[in-house]
Formats: sequence, C-alpha cells, structure tokens
Amino acid sequence: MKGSFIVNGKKAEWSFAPDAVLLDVLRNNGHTEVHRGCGEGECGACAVILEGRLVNSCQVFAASAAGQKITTVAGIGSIHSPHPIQQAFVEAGAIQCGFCTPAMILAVFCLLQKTPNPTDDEIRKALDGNLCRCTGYVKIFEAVRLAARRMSSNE
Amino acid sequence: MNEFSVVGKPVLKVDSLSLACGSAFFTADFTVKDPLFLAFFYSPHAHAEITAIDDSPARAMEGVVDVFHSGNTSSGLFTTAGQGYPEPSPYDTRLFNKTVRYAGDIVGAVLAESDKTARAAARAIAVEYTLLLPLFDPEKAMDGDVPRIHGEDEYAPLPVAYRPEQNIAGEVLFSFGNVEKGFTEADFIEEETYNTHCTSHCAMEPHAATASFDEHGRLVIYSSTQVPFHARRIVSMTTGIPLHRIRVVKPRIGGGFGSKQEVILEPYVALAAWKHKRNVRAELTRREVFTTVRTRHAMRVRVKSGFKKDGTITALQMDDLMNTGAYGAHALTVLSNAASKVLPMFNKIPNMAFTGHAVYTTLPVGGAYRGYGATQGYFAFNQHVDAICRKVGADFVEYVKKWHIREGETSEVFRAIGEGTEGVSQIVRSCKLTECLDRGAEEIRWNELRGKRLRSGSVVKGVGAAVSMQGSGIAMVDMGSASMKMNDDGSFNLFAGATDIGTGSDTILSQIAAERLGISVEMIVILSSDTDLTPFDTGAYASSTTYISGQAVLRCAEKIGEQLLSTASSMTGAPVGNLSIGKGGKVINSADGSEIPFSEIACYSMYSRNQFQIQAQASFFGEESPPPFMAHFAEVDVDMETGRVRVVKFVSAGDCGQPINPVLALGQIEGATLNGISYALTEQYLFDAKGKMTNNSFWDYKIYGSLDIPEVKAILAESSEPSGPYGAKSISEIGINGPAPAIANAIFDAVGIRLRELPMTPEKVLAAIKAKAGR
Amino acid sequence: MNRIEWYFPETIDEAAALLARERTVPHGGGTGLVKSGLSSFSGVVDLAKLPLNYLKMEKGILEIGASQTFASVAENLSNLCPDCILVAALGSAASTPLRNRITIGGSVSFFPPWSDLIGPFSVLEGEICTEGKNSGTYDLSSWLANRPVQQGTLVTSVLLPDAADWDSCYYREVRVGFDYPAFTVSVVARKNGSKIEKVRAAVSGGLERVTRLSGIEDGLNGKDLSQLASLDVKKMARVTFGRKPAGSAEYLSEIAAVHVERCLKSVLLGGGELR
Ligand SMILES: Cc1cc2nc3c(=O)[nH]c(=O)nc-3n(C[C@H](O)[C@H](O)[C@H](O)COP(=O)(O)OP(=O)(O)OC[C@H]3O[C@@H](n4cnc5c(N)ncnc54)[C@H](O)[C@@H]3O)c2cc1C
Ligand code: FES
Ligand code: FES
Repeated sequence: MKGSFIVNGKKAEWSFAPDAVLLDVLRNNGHTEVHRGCGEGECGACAVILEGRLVNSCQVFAASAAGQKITTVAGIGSIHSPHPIQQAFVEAGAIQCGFCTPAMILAVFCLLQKTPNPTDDEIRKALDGNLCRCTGYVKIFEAVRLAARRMSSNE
Repeated sequence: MNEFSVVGKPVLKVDSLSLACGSAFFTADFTVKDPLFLAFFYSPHAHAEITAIDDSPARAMEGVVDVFHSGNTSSGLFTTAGQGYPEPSPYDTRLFNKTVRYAGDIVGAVLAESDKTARAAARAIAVEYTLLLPLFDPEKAMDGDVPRIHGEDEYAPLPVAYRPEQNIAGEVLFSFGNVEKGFTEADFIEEETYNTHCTSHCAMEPHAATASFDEHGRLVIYSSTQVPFHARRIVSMTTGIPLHRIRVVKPRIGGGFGSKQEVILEPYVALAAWKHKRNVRAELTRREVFTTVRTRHAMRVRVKSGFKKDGTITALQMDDLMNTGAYGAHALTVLSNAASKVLPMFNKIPNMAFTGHAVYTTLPVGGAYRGYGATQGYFAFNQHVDAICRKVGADFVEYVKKWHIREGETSEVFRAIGEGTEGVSQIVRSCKLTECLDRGAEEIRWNELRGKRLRSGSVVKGVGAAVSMQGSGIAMVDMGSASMKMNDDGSFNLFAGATDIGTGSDTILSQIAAERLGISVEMIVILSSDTDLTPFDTGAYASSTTYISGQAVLRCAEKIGEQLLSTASSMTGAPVGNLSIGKGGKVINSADGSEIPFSEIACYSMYSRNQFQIQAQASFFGEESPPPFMAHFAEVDVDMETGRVRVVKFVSAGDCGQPINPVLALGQIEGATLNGISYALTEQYLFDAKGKMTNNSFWDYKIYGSLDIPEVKAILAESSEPSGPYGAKSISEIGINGPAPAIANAIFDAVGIRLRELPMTPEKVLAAIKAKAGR
Repeated sequence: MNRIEWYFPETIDEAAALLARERTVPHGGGTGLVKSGLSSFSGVVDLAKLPLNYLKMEKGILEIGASQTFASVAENLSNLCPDCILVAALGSAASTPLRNRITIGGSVSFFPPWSDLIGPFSVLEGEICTEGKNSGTYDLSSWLANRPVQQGTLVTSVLLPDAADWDSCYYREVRVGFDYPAFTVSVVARKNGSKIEKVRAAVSGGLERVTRLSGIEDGLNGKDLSQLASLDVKKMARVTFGRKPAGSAEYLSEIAAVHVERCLKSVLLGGGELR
C-alpha cells in the first residue's frame, strides 16, 4: 500500500506492506538515524515524534501513521546547525556509542517542550523508555539540565 | 606533574555531534545495491546430532536464493574469539556444525531477496535430529559418566591444556609457597563458595554485517566488530577467500563490551556474497543476540584462606569452575583473568594456590565481557575479604589499605599466570588505590553509615565496599599501530588500527597526537579501523586501546615531530638543536624566538625542494600491563519484608593513571558501574528444563534504565604510569568489577546475610533474611 | 501473502459495520497488534478518526473514550482529578513512548495479565461501553467471563461511575522501572474523621486476572481506622499466583500481601508507601 507522511517537514510518499511498522518504512527510505535495538518496544532506540508525541516507531504500523507528521533527530538539527539539545549532549559527554542518542534526544525534545525546567524526577521519567547501556545516564541527565538552562535563557 | 594542553582536558568527543545529529552511520545503515539477506536457523535442542536437513521447502519459496548448512557447506575448525593468532581459545566449532550443542546453536542460513523471505524460509526448513544427552550442570561436567560435548578433532592451536575428553576447555593451575603449611599457621580458616551467573552484554546495537564488492571485485565487509583485523583473518580462514581480497570496515559501533570481539556474522555474509557475487546483509534480532551471541561466563569460585587474629593472611586458595557453554571462546583466558587480575591485589600472601577449570556444557556460549573473569573473581574475593575483616574486627577500608599491592611492588601472580600461559613479571609503578579508598569512603560517608543499620520501617541501610584492578592490554601479545601524514595547512591525518566502539578512542588518540604536536584536536583528522586504510591493531579489548594504541600514536607523533624539526631546519638553516615544537602549530627557534608555522613547513616539504611528505608510522606492543585500580562503594536500602535491595548511592573511585580525557574516563566508570549494578541485581538468563533460554528479550531480561539509577559518583584519583602514553592506563573495564561485591557487602552490613549467588534478586534476599531469622 | 485492508472510519456506525466483517479487527494504539501480527486478519479498522478521544467528568461520572492513550488519561486526569488512582497507574505503565500509544480501548479489549488498568478499573467498579455486535454496557466480571462478546465488538468508552474523591494508593511490582508489573495493588478509600466510610482493594496479576479483596473490604468498611491493626491483612490479602520470571508463585503471593498492607496503611493512616 501507499501512504504519504510529513517527515521532518517534508512530504514523502512511500509504499509499504500493510503490516509494516513505521521503523522499517523509515529506515528503508533512508532515515537510518532511527535505530533498531530490539524491535519489540523495549529499548526506545527507534523513537520518533509522531504528531508531537514520542512513540516507538517499531510499535506503530506505518499504515496507522499515514498522513501524519513525523520528526526524527535529523529534523531538529543537523551537523551544520545543531539543535541546543544536540549540542548539550555533545558538551556534557552524554554520548558514548551514540546508538541510543537520536531517540534519547527526541525524548528530551518532547520533555523540554512541555516542561522547560524539568526536575530530576521529570527527566528520569521522560527517558524511562530509552535504554542506554554505555553512559549510566549520569551525563545524559547533565545534558538535559544543560539544554534546559540554555533553552530557557536563550543562552 | 606535566602541564598538558590537550591531554587531561575535557575535549569534546570527536564523533559525538554526528551521532547526536543522526548523520553517523552504523553497520546496518549502509545501503548497498540490491542486497540479499541472510537469516539463520537454529537448534531447538541443547544437544543433538543432525541426521538430515530438508531445505527443499525453503528453496521452493519465491525469493530464496540459497540455503547453507552442514549438508552442503564445510569449513575447518576455528574459534569465533577474536584474539591474537594463534588464539588461546580452542578450535572447536565450524560454520555449520553437524552436532549442535546448545539451544540456539546455528544450524544453517537462508539467503533470500528480502529479510522477511529469508526469515520465513528459515522457519520452513525441516531438520531431523538424533537427540543426545544434554549437560547443564558444570559441576558434573568433568565426571566420567556425563556426555562428552566435543569430539576427537577439536584442538587447541596453542600448547595449552585442552582435554575435551573430560569436557575441559581450559585449565589453569599455579601455586607458590606452601598453602597447606600456611593453613596450619592460621588462627582462622574461612572457606566459602560463590556463584556468578551468565549475562548478556546488551550493547544497544544488535550485531550486523554487510558484505559488498568494490569495483575490483574485492569483498568489502562492514561489520559491527571490535576486532576488524581478526575478523578479516578469521573470514579468510573459514571461507578460503584470500585475505588480500577482503577489506573489513568498521563504521560507528553501537557498543560492544566484548560481545563484538566475537566473529559471528562476518564469515557467513562473506561466504554467501562470495558464492553468489551479490551484496549480502545480515542483522540479528535482539532475541538472536541473547541466545546465539556470547554471554559472560558463569563461574563458581571457591575461596579458602587462613589468617591470623591480626588479619594477616597466611595462605589463600582459589578454585574456579567456569562454565564456557557449548564452545570454548575465551574460555582459557577469562578463566586466567579470574586469577591474574584478582590475586595480585594482596601481594603479601606468602602461600597461594589457584586451580581453575573451564568446562563445556550444552548451554549458551561464554565469551569476552567487560571485566573478563575479574568481575567473577572479585565477587568472591571482596566478600571473602569482608568476611575476614568481620572475623578479626577490622574495617574493610583500613584492612585493604594495609594489604593491597603498592607502587614499587610486584606479585608472584603476575609471573605465574598470563593469558592461559605463563605470565609476565612486572612491578607496579603507579597505584593510588589507597587514595581511591579514602576518597570513596568519604564520599559514601563510610564512617557514618558503616555498621549503623539505620532503619526506617522495614528498610535497613548498609554500606559495603570492594576493590579491584584490571590490566592495560595483554603484555607481550597486544599490538597497535598508527600512521600519520601532514597536510598543507598543518593538519594531520591520523590512521589508527584501534577500534572505537563508543569508548571514545578516536578522541583520545587524537588528543595524544595533538598533545605531542602542540596543536588542537581539530587539526587531527582521524580515521580508524579499516583494514585497507589503517595499520594493524589487535582491536578493542583487554583494556588495551588507550595504553597500547595510545603509545603507538604517541610514537608516531614523535616521529612526525622529528621530521617537522628537521624540515624546519633545512628551511631556515637553523640547527635542529635550536628548534622545538611550540604550541599552536609552529616550530620555534630558540636562538631568535622566530616561529615557523606548520603550514609553511608542510608546504615547503611538499612543494619546494627535495619534496617529500611528512609522514610516519609506528607500532607498539606492551611488555607489561599496568593495572588500573578502583575502590567501589555501595549504599543500599534492604527491605526486610520484601527482600528488595535498592542501591541508594554508588561511588567508584579509580586510578587510571593520567586520564587522557577526564569526561570520557568518568563516562566509562559511570557506564560500567551501572552495568555492574544491573548485573548484580536483575540481569539473568532463565532456562527451561531443556536448556532453552526463556527470557531472550528485554521484556524479561531486565537492564537498568533511567528510573533505576542511583546517585552515581565517579572519582578519578590521578597517577602517572611511567610506561603509559602521557602516564595513562586503562579505565573502561574495571568499573564493572565492583558493584556486585560492594552491594553484597552492603547487604551484609545492613542485615547480616551473605549472598553468595548472583543475581541478588529480592526473592533470594528475602529467603536469606528468613533463613537467618529462623536460625 | 494475505491481503490486508486498512480502514479509517469517521463514525461509530461505519466502524461497527466494518467490524462486522470476517477477520476484521479494530486498531487502537497497535502495541498489542504489532506483537500478535496481522497475519490472521484481512481488515484493520483504525479508530483514530472516531470521536472517541475524550475524557470527561460529569456529575462525578468519569467517562474515558476508547482512543485516549494512557499518557493522555494520566495528563488529563491530573488536572481534573489528580488523586485518582488512574493517574498513578496509567502514568507509570510501560514507558513514555508506549504510554503515548497504548489506548484504553485496546487495553480493555486485551486486558493482559500485566495490565495497569485492570486493578484501578476493578476498585473504581468501572463499566465498559460497546457498540456494534454485542453493544451494551458490561461490568468487569461479565466482560472478562465472556470473551466472545468481545469479538467484533467496538469498545467505545469506559465509565467510572464514582471516580472522584477517593484517597488512593497504587503499587506495581516491577524488577526495574520500565517493566510490566508482575502484580499490581490498588486501594481506594474514603474516610470521615477516623471512620472508614468505604475501602476497596484489588490485586491483579494472580491466577485470576484481578482479585477483589472483599474479606478485607468487609472487615474495614464502616469501621474505625484502628480496625486495620486488628486485621491480619497479610493473611487475608493472600492471592494465588503462578510462577513468573519475577519470582516464584509463593514469593509473589507473599509480597503482594505485604504491599496490600502497605497500601492500606498509606491510604488509611497516611503513611507513605515504601518503595
Ligand atoms: C513493551 C511493552 C510493554 C508494555 N507494558 C505495559 C504495562 O506495563 N502495563 C500495561 O498496562 N500495558 C503495557 N503494555 C500494553 C499492553 O501490553 C497492550 O499492548 C495494550 O494494552 C494494547 O493497547 P493498544 O491500544 O495498543 O491496542 P491494540 O494493539 O491496538 O489492540 C489490542 C487488541 O485490542 C483490540 N482493540 C483495540 N482497540 C479496541 C476497541 N476500541 N474496541 C475493541 N477492541 C479493540 C485490537 O483489535 C487487539 O485485539 C505494554 C506493551 C508493550 C509493547
Ligand atoms: S527498536 Fe523499537 S523499542 Fe527497541
Ligand atoms: S551511548 Fe551507547 S547506548 Fe547510549
């Protein structure tokens, strides 16, 4: 079947199987910044923002997302013009292997949109679906606090 | 202490922005033209002989290109362990074994036009088995009346003990002094048995490999590997493809922790691509990673010591039984490390004996995993020491400070045992363990909390400590190399064999080169681990990269420095002796203070006279393996009614010599610490009665996430290791050794029970609490 | 391959008509359907365009449309009725990205053994409203007892007739923060001074999907708070479990009772629930 999506602000028209999940459709169409860590909704590496909400793209049928807005990490900033959250992750040393990072950054993006000055508990909760095996989260939390400070003060 | 300008600074990780923005490529992210997909089928049985494979239903499916299995594809014996050659691991497996030895053992692979078809076809294959008796209990493995897991052909390529007829995949024995005599001199004897379990690395990126062809028809393999050069060698060896026709490229890697030191997928994609001359991709699911890739070896450790009333240990005996599972990948060496990285800690014990056996069973295969045997050994060692302290009324911290190995000292153990064979004698030249203990104790509030059993409702607080050491590379075995060339603008390309798997080695190696040449990291353009483009390196394992590969880079940069001076000398006529490398990319003439920018030197060398490029290469192999040290402290709350243990705070204070990049070093400690806590408390393989793993997904294999982490405090107690690059030692493994024993000791401090078996699940804790109350 | 057609009806009638067809299923958040796969279906009816994404409280009756996600219920309720047990329960289920997908309709239809909805639903004595085949209103036990009524039936909303003004305590037994619960404990109560006007308690995850602890409820309803101390709650709260990866049947049964006692104490005596 065919479906159109608005991915990172651009319209895309893709064909896919009726039982395909969004993760596969995104990856097959070049969005390899969306990662597969488990395919079962357990690791969060595949998270994207669907109509303003963080979702695990491996748990979403592509068909059910047709017509909707999808944001991947490439949609919030690029290597040429990174988003403050991406910059904060770099500066706080929150990235080791970086496999979890794109989805983690999107989770933070959603958090800070709603809660510009999150408490530590709010940070933990917002990242509860994103596993990171490398960092132990210490520097990820620091990155979130750094990004929040910068974004709310427009530093 | 040296004043550094780049080393020791929190330089931003060079690949991190690309990872944050999603522009970095992992193995599965490469698009190759018109790829075929490879999917595996596995043994459902723990132990069986394959009698027939009917692949016709699969071959009949549309889109299926080929099916590989023992009925049509043979390979020689080899080991999947990516280690120095010949490997210390036995050659006991083939690409497709006729005997399957654990539920999850690879039986064959289907090649098809799509991943979906390949997987569907893999399910359609009918395999007939004659069941053989399984062997699940490692304690029985060496008995006479149990099934033998391996046959006549398997062999060890090195002259090491290997006795498959007794299911022994590896044996390590050594002793010095007279243990029996030591025991008779003791006032007390303490003897206990500890059990550690098998666990999964859970690197977030599942294993993937893609084989494609370059324009000359050479095979190019992209792989999520920690060991690209070993992978190339093993692919050639198992498939017969000439080594010079193979190129292995390591893109970004989504974590390894040892799991990608194992050459699993590469030979299969190579075989299939080479046969069909088509690009081939393989990507494991998380479930396949759990069952078919490697685990931390489960180990039973029995420790016995004799000690005097004042705590002096007169003799110590350790007996380890390690379950290597179906194959002996890393069996001998992990076993060795359980002794060689543990027993030197108390180097004043005059009488010591170690016996270790790695045995085959029909369970998933053990392999390299961060900590590499030391983790298992230290679980027992630290609890044992805690027990001694409690017996003689000593404080753990003070006791360890009194007895641990110090700068200028050696241990018999270093010489007695290395990686399965004799070791290399060495003197410890940097050790700040005492400082680690002091700073850690202060941070955890040791003196305020120890023995207080503060209570709130049914919850009791306790603190516990552990110490550990690791190594920095494998002495006389590991080798790394690097090369550099200079560009017109005074920047340098640095080519390193070293494999950055997320650890940050690309950054650290760039820092080392930049420091030596007085330039910023931006002026170093690093490319690492591509078997065509970069020089050789044994790979990312054994805590070797900073120490071994770092020295290679430093030596290489030194040679570049010499060339810079000699070129500047011929440019200006100034004697080399007057010239030195300044900061900011210039050579300084001390006679008149004049400066010659690197860019001018580069252009002079390339365009002016006697043209040549400033370039160099260097290799380094370690003649010793200086240990990093760490003190680990846990504060836990134990719920007496439910058995739940909550780690409130964890402190890891480590000595890694001079940290090349403190942020990355702290990150390694923090990550290892959390992995270690999760290992101690929740992670475990569950098996059914037939030996099949029943929890092969994150649904029931639980690892710690953002909600679980306690307050983690990592501390660096800097030292300077004379043999290391800019004084550096390793850091990335050691942090995982402490959590399990520190938590166990803290539980004892809180509620007086000893948990000698991992993981320390609430149910086990509660049972122990009840058993104690009932006593 | 079996052809699968997706439908996006905009009215309940349209949806009900589609669901009357053979091998056609509703799609809520998809988190259950992705796991089970679509191979046995020929039609999937996506419910997102139906007017079922609402949550309203009228005269103390809380009605939640089937398309509300766990996250939106927790969010909406935290304004409307912050002490409602559903806030704690649905707000801590699964993980953030899953809570953003899991719908009330899908969860009611599925009611997995690890459901975070079922315990609160039980103590709030909710009802399930359906349309299409077997349209009507069902209480929990008749819904659970009669799987076939669910086939081809569209869950449109759940009604919680008396959801406000309870003190509540919710506990989920998890191995790590992001885990499905091995069991859950739900306790709600209303007090008047030192008198217990009404208390309800339920344990989910045992052999029965959900067990109302009526012995405890009967022993406390209408009594003075001091009555709690005289009940052997740990014994009365014993629920039978099967073995789970989180622990043996005996262990789970024992600690579920511990947590029932803690939740009761927390709700009735105000002691914070210990984690
Ligand atoms: C990794 C993971 C962890 C989870 N953890 C938890 C947890 O901790 N706690 C918890 O409570 N849940 C948890 N869940 C969710 C739970 O397992 C189910 O997946 C979920 O309840 C299904 O809801 P859904 O809206 O996604 O349903 P869908 O997948 O859309 O549907 C599920 C079933 O319900 C039917 N259905 C859907 N909507 C309707 C309707 N309106 N009327 C009639 N039938 C309908 C579908 O046809 C299907 O049969 C978890 C899920 C995953 C994947
Ligand atoms: S890949 Fe989707 S949650 Fe793991
Ligand atoms: S940085 Fe590797 S998983 Fe998070």
